[in-house]
Amino acid sequence: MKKFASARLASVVNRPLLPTERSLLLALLAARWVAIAWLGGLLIVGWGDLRRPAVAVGVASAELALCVLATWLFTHAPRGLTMVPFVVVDVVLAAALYTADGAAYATGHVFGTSQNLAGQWPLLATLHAAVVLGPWTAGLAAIPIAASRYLGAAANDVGPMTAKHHVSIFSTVVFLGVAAGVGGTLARLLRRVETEVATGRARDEVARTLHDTVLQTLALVERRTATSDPELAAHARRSDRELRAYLFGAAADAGGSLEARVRQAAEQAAARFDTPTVVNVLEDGCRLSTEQLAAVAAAVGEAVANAAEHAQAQRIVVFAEADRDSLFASVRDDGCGFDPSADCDGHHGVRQSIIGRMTDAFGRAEIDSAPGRGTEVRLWIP
Amino acid sequence: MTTDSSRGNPLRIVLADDHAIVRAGLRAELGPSFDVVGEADDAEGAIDVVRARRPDLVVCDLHMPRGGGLAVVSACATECPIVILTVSEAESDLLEVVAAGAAGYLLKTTPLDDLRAGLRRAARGEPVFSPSLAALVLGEFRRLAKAAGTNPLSERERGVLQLVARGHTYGDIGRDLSISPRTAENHVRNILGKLQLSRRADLVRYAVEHGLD
Repeated sequence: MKKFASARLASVVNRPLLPTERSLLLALLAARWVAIAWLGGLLIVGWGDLRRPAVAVGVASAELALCVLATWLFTHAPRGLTMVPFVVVDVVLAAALYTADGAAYATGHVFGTSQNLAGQWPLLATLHAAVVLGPWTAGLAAIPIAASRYLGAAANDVGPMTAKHHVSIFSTVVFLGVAAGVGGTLARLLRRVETEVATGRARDEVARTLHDTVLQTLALVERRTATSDPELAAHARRSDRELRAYLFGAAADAGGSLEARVRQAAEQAAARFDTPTVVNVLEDGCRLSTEQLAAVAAAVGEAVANAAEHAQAQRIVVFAEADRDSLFASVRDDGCGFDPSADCDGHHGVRQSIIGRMTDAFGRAEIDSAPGRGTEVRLWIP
Repeated sequence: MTTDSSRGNPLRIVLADDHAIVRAGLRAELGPSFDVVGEADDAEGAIDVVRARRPDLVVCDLHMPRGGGLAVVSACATECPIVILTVSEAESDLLEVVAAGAAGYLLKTTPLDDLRAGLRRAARGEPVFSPSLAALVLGEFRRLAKAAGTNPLSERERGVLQLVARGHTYGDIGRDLSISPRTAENHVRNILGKLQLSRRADLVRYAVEHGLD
């Protein structure tokens, strides 16, 4: 448990501040200064009620010093604010305010009045800990603070603690725990989103650079060696396709989208025979089921494989257009075509397979071909 | 428009690409039926050369310094046809450049014969429409239709565009729709015109909304 906690702590603490974190810590810093002003005001206004003014002034000065330190750290060494020592001092001092409160004021102050030397400090310290160390670790801050409240009650000579007193202190614990949980979780979420955005942006940078130089070169190689060295040309074409898929595939990374599925099926089928294949998908909020999408993608894949393998096609064009509840797709090749009325086995098998897949998906398929004029496979849902 | 190639004279073209090796390669490969009368390695240079030499056709890279193909098309599209060469069809700027007046685009990996045929067609004033470009344009009009409530394209035009996107030739389309291939081509030309019109309207609307002059 301890190792787990310290590992998690290490991963959170030892890294540079993200812009979100800076903003959050800056907001907390501003709140601290407001709290200092409030603390000063409280002392001045309630000076007469103080039994031991030295104690009150002492802790107030300590908080002031902490504020100054926090401001200095923020401007010169922001990572210092994320270090455990700072958080510990922060929480302990905030907790100590409760004890000081009990000690500094006359008996009857604690639980008697609504003003408290601690003010917002425990909350601020907890929130800071939550942003920096995460929700669970920060939740632990409630313990010393609650303990200090008991000490404060004792220092104020409250006498035997009643149920109401315990409830009051427990509600502090709950409040701080919730604040830690909410604040910590939010901060973590913001951190994660920010990191993802940064990674995406970095990838785009790489893509732009690679795109302009490497893809150019591959295109050149492909065209120069098309006749003199077809094997190299094919190799260049494959690399081009793969690089293109990586660079621009991030957008189609939507996993289960129609475009992603169709593209993947077509490219896999065409890759085996290295036939140039063009895929264009127009999607507009397609709400067909996963099974239907899978069926269409599979049918497209079969059609492409068939065109590449049997039809000696020079080019295959895959097209799909989808609305919310309907879809049309086509696979056209400029190959040798076949006579649909002649029922030779090879063609028959593929045709039945494609038609079968589409009918199972509540759609239909049409295969249109003529010798010498290429083939077009058309798919519809419904 | 004079079609010098039909009279046997080579087509006068300007090549613009920021990679010298690409320009050299094209110059060598296009052969004697194309006469390279000027070259440029950035958009401003390209515009200057085009205005100075008045070629029959401009072949221009999409990405170049000082504005890229878009700048060249915006400046010179009315003066002579411009074909954009690009490495990838996944470019987000392709629609932009076609809507700004380019005659079309071709992939740098297009086989030589198709490349020459496409360039000659562009010089004759015919739009160079690949299935991917057709799909891009189809998508754009779908978007416009959604925003405006009605599709600026007619049913027939939509049908033709979809057939091009599916890989059909103008001959195929003619057969399928019982029209002549020339009529199919005209439909595509009109569609391109509508795209450019709508893009210009967008720009005007934007300028008006933002008080630009």
